[in-house]
Amino acid sequence: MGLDEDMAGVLATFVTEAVELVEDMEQGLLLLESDPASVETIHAVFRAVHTLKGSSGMFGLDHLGGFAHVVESVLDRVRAGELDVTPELVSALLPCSDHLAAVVAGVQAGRLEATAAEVADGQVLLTHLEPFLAEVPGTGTAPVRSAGDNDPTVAAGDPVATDPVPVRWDVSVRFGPDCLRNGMDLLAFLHYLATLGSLAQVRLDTSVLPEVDEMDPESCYLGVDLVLETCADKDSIDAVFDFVREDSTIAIRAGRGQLDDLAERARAATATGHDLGDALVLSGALTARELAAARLDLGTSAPGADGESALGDLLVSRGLVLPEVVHGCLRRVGPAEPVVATAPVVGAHDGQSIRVDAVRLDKLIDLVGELVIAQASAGLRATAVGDVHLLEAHSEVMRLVEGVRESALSLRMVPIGTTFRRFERVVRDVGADLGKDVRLVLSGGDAEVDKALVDRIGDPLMHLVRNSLDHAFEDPAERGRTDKPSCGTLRLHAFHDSGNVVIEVIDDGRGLDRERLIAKAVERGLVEPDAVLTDQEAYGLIFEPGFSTAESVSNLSGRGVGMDVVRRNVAALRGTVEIESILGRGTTVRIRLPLTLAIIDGFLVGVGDSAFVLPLERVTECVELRTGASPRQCMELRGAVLPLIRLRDLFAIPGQAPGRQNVVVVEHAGQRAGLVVDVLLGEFQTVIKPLGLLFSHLQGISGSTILGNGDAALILDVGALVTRHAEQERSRQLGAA
Amino acid sequence: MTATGTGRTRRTVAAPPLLLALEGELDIQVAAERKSALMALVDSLPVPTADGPVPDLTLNLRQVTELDTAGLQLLLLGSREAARRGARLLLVDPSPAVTGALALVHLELDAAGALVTDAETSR
Repeated sequence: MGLDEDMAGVLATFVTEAVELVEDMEQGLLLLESDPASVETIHAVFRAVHTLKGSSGMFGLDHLGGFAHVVESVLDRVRAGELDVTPELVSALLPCSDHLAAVVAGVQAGRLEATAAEVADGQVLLTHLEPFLAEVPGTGTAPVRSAGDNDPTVAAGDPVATDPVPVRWDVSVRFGPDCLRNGMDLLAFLHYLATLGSLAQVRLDTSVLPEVDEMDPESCYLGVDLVLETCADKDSIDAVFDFVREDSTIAIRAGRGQLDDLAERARAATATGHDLGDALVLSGALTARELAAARLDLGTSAPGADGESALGDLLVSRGLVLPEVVHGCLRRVGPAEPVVATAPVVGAHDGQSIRVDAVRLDKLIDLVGELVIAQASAGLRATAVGDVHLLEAHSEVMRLVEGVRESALSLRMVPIGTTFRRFERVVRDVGADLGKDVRLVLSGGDAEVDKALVDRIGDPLMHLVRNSLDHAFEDPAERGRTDKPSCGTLRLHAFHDSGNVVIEVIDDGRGLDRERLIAKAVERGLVEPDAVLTDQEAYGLIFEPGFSTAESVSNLSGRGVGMDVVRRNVAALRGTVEIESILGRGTTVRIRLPLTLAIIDGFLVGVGDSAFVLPLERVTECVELRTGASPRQCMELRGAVLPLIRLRDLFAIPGQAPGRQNVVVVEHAGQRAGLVVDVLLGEFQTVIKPLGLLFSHLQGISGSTILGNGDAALILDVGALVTRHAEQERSRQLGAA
Repeated sequence: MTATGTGRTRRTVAAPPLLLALEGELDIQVAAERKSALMALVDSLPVPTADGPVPDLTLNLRQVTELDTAGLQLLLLGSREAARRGARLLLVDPSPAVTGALALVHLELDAAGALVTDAETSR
């Protein structure tokens, strides 16, 4: 496929959008499963598929558009109330969203036409959809709505959806100057609009066509005002312009002829307790996006009648709605007001966020990192010169750089909730496969973490979730014999804890059997028969490679692979895993991760000529190592024994230790240790440069950094150091015994 | 002396051709070249004089395989510029690609082939 660069760029945008749309579709379907009557969700799913179909058509991706079209037809029947949402329907549609995702992934990989496998898959899925497509009621196996289960909310439905009479819409399109250059052809859009209905009137606006010399033949100067006669709702028309919305001015509004209808519908909606904005959306006069944008611009000011009329005025002044419609509603809105808590507006976040290329963001973070280093260097010079004013100025710069760093890093922060929601599907599908009834409860999804972390924590979490489903949860029959509810609960919980984000996977299953784990480990020769293990150590056994207590191997887990991968992956992210478990009550797996991978607050120490950086959050205190202290490997600190790790010995640093050494007390997962160093150099904020591949096997070192004076310093991985030291001590003691 | 289809008479002495045939795509890829060609055509119009009528410009579109927004824009620009000099830009023998695009935006050609602009048309 000879894609030129422009096209590739546009296609990348398309893929990003398409991936989101497919995700929306999947989310919606899962929601529908628990709440089949939700009109809003049905509409959201429909819109997602509809938009996907529309934009694939625009890019000539017929294989994608064709498939989406069939799915859309089924959803359209649901929307029109001809088809009920049943578990069978959701089960038939979910694989379709997978298929769409796969095809979109194919497009991303540059395949603009379906592969044979995709065609075959698509055919199978479409066959499964056929029962739901039955045109004539009663001919297929489609569950036709019975009179008995007429849910009033569905029946009231969206008046537009059930209305077969075409509506005339005034559509005004003013493309941004660069649209043509970006591959967005106005004529192609009109062509697509024409497929929604008929273009009753079209008027070209050439008023901004400039003088010959000023006219750039690749810029767009044409505007179009047209009247579209269609049964499609405003959202569908609006969705046609999804790809040009940012640069262009698009106004869609019901034609004068439709005024009475619309006003009537809007009035009806207000009478049932909707506020003005929602009523307008329900009536079809306004799209949710337009409403969200308008509400955002209004701010949170003036709820109630004042806010309503302000909103109305704004919508009219923007030409989104005709004044008559708004006034019709406002008269009714008054007294019978806010009985109903307004649901969060779909797409409300659209106006609040912008999409940024990840590469640009990384570039910014990189630069800020360099800035931090340069600033540290300037600080060193300033201290050396000792000029008070220079130092003052520098401390101000430092404060600002700190602020820039914070906000630059926060740009990378995304809520972990998106990752969590992926598991709804996993829990559902795997639970169904295993015949286990498991409910997924998500909490703390708004805890923010570095985007890079979010991307990389998905796999370990997936292992944990699958493992819980497979092993932790009892069969329904077994649960029935206990006092637990028959439906198991799996919780994913995230929260911030002093510079870390903690993710917990909590199940109320059978729990880990400590004795059995140890017996198994003894059998495998992993621990000595008479060894005394702490709970952490015993439970930690499940992370040993090849360790499994499962009697049977399922296709999901039980082969003993997976859990060791989890620990390795988490360790690679500078995180740790802990396990708590109560036999018979459940298990909590707790993953602790740093908030960001890019920058740490460090504590700089020196040994001989070398400098090392310790993550500041690991440092609890610093004490002096008494001169003439015995060369023992531990010291006494306020009545407790503190094991010592001598960095000079550990890294075989040449030279004689100075008379006065210092001990930096570090803590990791409840264990403390003292690192013996020559000098303490103070706090140091630094950018982590990952070690090259060559050094990736090194334990105890998590990265490197450049100091202000240009020297390199290693960043110590305290967790690994402490663990390794503890292990060595134990084996030494065992040897001695 | 040559006779045109409209029966008007033109002086051909030392006059440039007043005719241009476009081939292939008329789209954004070639918009810059086509613009120069089209403007050269417009510039070939003789300076209007008091006595004779200004001749029409002829743009043959039989070989045009594709017309997009950028192309359409050029046709509109050409028509406007011609009109400013008292001439008409006649689009003759339009290919299906051209007629399709014009129909989409409800633009019509009059009997001679000039674009009928600024008129709302109903289907």
